[in-house]
Amino acid sequence: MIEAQELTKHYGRTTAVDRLTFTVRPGHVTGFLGPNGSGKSTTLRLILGLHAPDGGRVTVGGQVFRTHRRGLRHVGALLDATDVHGGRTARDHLAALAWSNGLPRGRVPEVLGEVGLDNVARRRIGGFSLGMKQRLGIAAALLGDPPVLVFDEPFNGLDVAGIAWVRGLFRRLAGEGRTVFVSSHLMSEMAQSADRLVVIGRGTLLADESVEEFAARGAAPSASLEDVFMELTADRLDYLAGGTP
Amino acid sequence: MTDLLRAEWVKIRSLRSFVAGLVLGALGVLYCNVNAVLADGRVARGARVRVGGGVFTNNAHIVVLYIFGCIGAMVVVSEYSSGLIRSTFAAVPARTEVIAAKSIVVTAVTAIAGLVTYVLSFVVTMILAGQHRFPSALLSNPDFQRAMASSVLLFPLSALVGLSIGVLIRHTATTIVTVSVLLVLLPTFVTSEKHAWVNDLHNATPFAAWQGLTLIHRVYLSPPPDITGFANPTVGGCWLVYLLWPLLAVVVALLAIRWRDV
Repeated sequence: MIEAQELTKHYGRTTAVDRLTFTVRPGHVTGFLGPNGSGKSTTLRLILGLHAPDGGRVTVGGQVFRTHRRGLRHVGALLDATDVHGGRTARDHLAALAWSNGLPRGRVPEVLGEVGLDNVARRRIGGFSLGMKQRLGIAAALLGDPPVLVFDEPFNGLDVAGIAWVRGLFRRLAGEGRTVFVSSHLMSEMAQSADRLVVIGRGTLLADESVEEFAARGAAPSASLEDVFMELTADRLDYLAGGTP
Repeated sequence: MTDLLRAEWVKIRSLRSFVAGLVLGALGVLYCNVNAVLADGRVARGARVRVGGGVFTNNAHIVVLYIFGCIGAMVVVSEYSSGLIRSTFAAVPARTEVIAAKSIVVTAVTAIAGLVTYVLSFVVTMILAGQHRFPSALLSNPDFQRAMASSVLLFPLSALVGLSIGVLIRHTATTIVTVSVLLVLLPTFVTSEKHAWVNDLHNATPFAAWQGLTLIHRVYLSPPPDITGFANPTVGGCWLVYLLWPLLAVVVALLAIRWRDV
């Protein structure tokens, strides 16, 4: 369970996240949607205590994440697949994370096998494609077998088979009763992966509901989720090609 | 805490660039010292070269300050520049423990590197000077022991100062420039024959402290020339500098890491 209450974060004069309140429940894949620059990544960093909020608070399992001494058993996170050192091998990267949380060494080959990277475990990450780095990031998130998992744009760079595999993985993790929170800027992607949605625009909450409820917002009965999303976020876009929508 | 020490050790030993830096630093020191002994030998025209003196050269210690300062800095800056720091702190929210573990591992690794470098340097210069007998008198000389200790300890001192600057600045290029200015250039720039406080400031730099601890015993500097009339560094004062620099560096790093967004 992730609970944000009036969460606020400023960077200088910019308000990245503005009194954001939402709940991410266990047992579901919850999509976290918003246009580019809407504050998704900032929100995820606030959840993980990497950035400190200027107002409000966010808890994971009832506790502010930064008050944990070790995190991997509580929350598994993939924030940015490129947040790795290219000079290390996949195995060493994961081994350092596993040691840092006192996890059994056997977890490293286990998660590498789970994401399909066992045959490149001894290769340096610098030579990995983005899709391989996404798999490595997912492996790192799974290391501590956590009840809450957070993924920022995990589909970027994955091939078709990879996307299908990740979707299945998310469903399985949610099916095991875990909280799965997945950010994306692509509604089409979330339509097939998530059963709940948290939608934000310019740092404020636009929707926090099930996919069915979200679909019912459509003006026309035939409106797709993407249509509803476009409608909802139309006046919250920061970056527009050609000036006006 | 031992879990974090292991993790930081894995991170350090798994980077070729870090190991290469250690080797490069050691070879740089060895080169400077061997070169000094050979130059001494040429000057002395076959006369017995003072082995103990030949090991402790200014140039070698400029190499130590610079290369090991940079190595210490890169231990954290490489995490910031790659973004790995976010993975690290998401896995270990207790950030001060991470920096403490890094400091301990860096201290241990660079101290061992310093010891190996100096034993090697000593043996090689001894052979070059044509000394084949075991120099037991020299090794038991307290002045020599102090010089050896201060030279070896300059490795972790430089690395810890570099690590702290890395935590504060976080950007590779700016960090490296700051490390060079603070550790290498500052002692050269801050000298004065007019103002006592500038002289004190100079003596408070690690390089001056190393010179104090290493060169005080050498015949041509003992007693040290007192042309300026200012206080010369004392052995106790020099050790205090050796203690305060890394201590302050680590404390500042531990405090800074708590409050800043990553």
